[in-house]
Amino acid sequence: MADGCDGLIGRTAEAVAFTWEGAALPGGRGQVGPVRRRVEALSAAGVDVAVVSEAGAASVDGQLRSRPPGPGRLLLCASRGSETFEAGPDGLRLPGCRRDGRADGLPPRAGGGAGSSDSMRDVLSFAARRGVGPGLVLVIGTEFGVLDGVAGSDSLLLIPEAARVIAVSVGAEPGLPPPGVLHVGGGRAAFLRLLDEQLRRRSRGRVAGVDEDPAWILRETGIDPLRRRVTESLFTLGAGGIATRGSVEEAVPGGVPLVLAAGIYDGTGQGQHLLPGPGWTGLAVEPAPAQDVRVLDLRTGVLARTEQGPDAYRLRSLRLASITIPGVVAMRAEALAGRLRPGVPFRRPLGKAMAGGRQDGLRWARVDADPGGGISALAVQRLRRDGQLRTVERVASYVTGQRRRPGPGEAADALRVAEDLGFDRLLAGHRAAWAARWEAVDVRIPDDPAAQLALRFALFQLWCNTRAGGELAVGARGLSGTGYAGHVFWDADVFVLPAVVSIDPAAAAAMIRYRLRRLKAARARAAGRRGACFPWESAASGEDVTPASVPLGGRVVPVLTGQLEEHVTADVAWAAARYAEWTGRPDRLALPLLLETAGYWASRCHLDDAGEAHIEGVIGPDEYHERVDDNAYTNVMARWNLRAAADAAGRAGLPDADSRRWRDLAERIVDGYDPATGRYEQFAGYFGLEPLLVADFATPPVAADLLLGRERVAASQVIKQPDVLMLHHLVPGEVAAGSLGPNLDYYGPRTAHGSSLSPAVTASLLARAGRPDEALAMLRTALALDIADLSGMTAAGLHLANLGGVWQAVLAGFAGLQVRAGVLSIDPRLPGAWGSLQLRFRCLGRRVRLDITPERVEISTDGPLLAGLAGAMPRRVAGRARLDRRG
Amino acid sequence: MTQVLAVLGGGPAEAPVIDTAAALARIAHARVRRVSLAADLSAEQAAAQVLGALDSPGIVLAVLARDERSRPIWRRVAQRSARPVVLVPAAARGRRPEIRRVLLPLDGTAESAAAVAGAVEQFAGAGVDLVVLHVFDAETVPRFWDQAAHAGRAWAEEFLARYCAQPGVRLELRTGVAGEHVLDVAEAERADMIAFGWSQQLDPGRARTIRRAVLDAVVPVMLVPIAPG
Repeated sequence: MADGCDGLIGRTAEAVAFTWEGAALPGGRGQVGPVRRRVEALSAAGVDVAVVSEAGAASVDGQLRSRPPGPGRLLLCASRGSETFEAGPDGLRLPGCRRDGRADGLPPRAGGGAGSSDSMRDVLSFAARRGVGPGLVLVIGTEFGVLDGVAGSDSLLLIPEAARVIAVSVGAEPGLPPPGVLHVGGGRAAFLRLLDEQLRRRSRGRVAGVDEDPAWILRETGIDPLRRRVTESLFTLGAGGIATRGSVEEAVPGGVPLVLAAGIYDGTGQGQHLLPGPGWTGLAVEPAPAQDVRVLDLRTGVLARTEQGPDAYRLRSLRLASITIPGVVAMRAEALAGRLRPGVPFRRPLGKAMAGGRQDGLRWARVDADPGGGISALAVQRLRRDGQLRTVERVASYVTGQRRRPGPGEAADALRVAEDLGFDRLLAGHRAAWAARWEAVDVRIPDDPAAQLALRFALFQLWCNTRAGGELAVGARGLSGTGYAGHVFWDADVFVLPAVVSIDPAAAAAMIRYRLRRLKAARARAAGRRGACFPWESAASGEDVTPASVPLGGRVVPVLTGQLEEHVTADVAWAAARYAEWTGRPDRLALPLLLETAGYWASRCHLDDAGEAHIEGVIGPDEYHERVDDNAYTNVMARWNLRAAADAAGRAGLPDADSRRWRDLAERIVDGYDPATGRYEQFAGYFGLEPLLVADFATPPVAADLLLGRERVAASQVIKQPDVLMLHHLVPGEVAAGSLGPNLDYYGPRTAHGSSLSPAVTASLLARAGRPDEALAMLRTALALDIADLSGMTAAGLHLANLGGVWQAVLAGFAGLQVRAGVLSIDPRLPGAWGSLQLRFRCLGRRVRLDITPERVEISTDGPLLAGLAGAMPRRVAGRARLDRRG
Repeated sequence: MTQVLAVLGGGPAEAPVIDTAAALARIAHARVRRVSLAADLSAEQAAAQVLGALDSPGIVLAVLARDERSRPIWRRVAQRSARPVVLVPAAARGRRPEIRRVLLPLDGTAESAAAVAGAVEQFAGAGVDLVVLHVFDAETVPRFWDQAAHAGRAWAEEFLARYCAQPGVRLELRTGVAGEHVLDVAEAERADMIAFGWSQQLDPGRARTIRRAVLDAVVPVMLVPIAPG
């Protein structure tokens, strides 16, 4: 493991724990000063230190007499594990508030301490709260192995949770240490060298490590260039509305390195696309690595790379997009000095000109958008040597402008803050912030680690591709690729927002503001009608940017979605209402959208002689059938829109003339429901089409329009994705009670799932229908969609709607969560394979945790919340409560 | 000096064989070497002569007439040659002698793409317009096709990045039986040649697409063997 640079372990640790009587002061003898100096230097470098001792904390403190300056902390885990204190500038204190015998964040004490094992639990728990996993904890002892037939005292440190720690013995270990413990021997001298190694690695800018916890990492090996295009999307890192694709550092054929910023478009009209920003990850590495391992650590938000092979000077790199200083990105890389040439910090994106230069000793770059706006960046780069290794450290700060071209100087403040912190502390703060995120939002499915990991990936990328503040345009592929040009569809309103509102309500509010600020364009688009009509496909200005035609099968086929797929107007209103309902906030953001969209529907409907209201010539969610009349989804969503607007107007005390008219119109809208069968006819005449089932010609998911041809599919009952069933997903109160089952039975076999939006929603619906095992099978398809590249197009970007959809499948589907009138209702349907489901999310201004088993639901909140099982009286939960599901 | 073999055996396709060989030689910066087959040779002997010539150092490909009379010869040569073979129909007579546009049917396997990669690079380097054709069937049709305009673009970019990463290449997509579309697209695109990577199996039930193209195309068809293993 030696790295050829006088290192004993060749890795950077983020926390160090050592035995006081064994490693630091064997036999109680020796100078304490050298230990104290190193402990305080590690603390200043941001490393947490834990001293494990049999003696009492006061005794150890009296000897060590260390008052570390921080930010790294010093823990004294003393008295054989029965007490843990933090030594700070003001003396010893408990590391957290003790309540009910448990320290905040520390595991419960097994009555009096069970030796060093409890100390180790405290150390790992403390480190975890700061985002440091066991794999980044260095544990130094002397007696891990058997001694005189008895297990060494330090073997108690090797608890199961510590399986990945970097365990090192500096003792004699006559009985040999257990597997996994590195035996360097050398006693106290070696102990001090180990601490020196950690200090040296930091001073030389060495690449930090990653705790490779399989519950939290995506790991890719090899250099298959085709798979690499996919992992560039999967390994996107983002924060603050700036995201960087996970491309490797060196230029490779077929690679698409890219930096994208939310809402910054280039071009005009239908040709608008997200502007590529200055690239910051490029390095010259020659020869390029022949084989590597790349790890995306979801828990700490970093992307790490290690070249494979015996060479101790192999390439390593680690990068992050800071969530503590949005807009700041940072990386470190190391390799043999002759191989690694950093070059200038910024690379020109393909197809765009880039201005750049030096300013106040820093490098700047800017890419301008047409007709206005741009992305600017400022960077500092530092080269160091550690023996024969060259290390590169690069920190950059990005700013954007939608209409004006931002000056690089605008990025200076954030860069200065990052520079003042230094890379190690920037990384430490970033890890801790991610730990806080996962503390508030998470999913745990002990019986299904694969689904758990894929769901965490979905949450991770939803965070990376969104941001709070201002307005937020969420394109179909987010900021992870060029696919769909960053254009915004109903994907954002109906699939992404309901997920984002439960993990980052402020980001959801920003999504609403994107629509709000384009109301003017939507009013103009209503042309001849009242209210606002939102475009099917939207970019910078809110005008419709749907392509007019597409080459297909040798012909040029007109694209009608821009003209006819009008349900997006109701979807925008629905998203605003969902935000208000889920957060419990007043209608302030939702009201104008509800009112203007209702105004549109009121003028869009036409009354027949019988007084029934129709909406003719539309495309529903099922795009295989165009220019249909009375599409159930469009009609019922319009009906919901009218009613919701009337309700909101009433709450706002607005004059009720419009509201009365809207309610009356809502009652008249036909919805295609047949009480005799319980089915909704998807559109007028649908039941008369050829009764073709998908299984008759293919195994779904399948793009049936490509396989059978547009005309054939349009003449049949095959549908692309849930259409009627979307109503049961979004507005269950607007559809007939008990109609989910009949419509699932009818439309399920007719659904090709030829849309990436389809599997996750279907999973949710199947769970709601009491078919959770089928739901789980469908969920697995959705979870694999990007990770396994089922579409063949993940290289062009992640499917954001699907990512939102899988989180919704768990929340709304399996957990059965609904919020109505300020009450969280829970109605779980767990598949047989899941013995439990644990969820953490945000709702009604609270952080909520649910622990669901077949027998019970345990809920805990950080403040009062009205909650209850479906059908039962809700109760006010403050803290913890148990809701029994049976009997 | 690299050479393109022009195999002459008389018949109406001989002139287009010479023209095609010359055009390919210009693309490959090669010379044309003519090989005449004696009329009294058996098919096996004639094929052996051609294969022997193909094995000569510097020979990059062979151009043969594809007509009914010479079928036993070109079938043997095509199925046994380790180098590309171009089959020229008599109907190619009168068409423009230059190769300005080549149609590349690709089935979406790395093997067939790799087979034609060398030829593609040479064509591209010579400024030949390349059109890739991929035909979806029940096995290969994408699972998801969200918004046609965007999906088509993303899918095409990915397909070309994987299987034909040359600047300026276009992708045409069709659905159905590949053999039914190759010739139609070749005609619609006014291709001067069709190039396939293939497994060198022409038995019934195998290589239907190629067999149909070879037998019915009015333009030369290049067959590039897929390397074994």
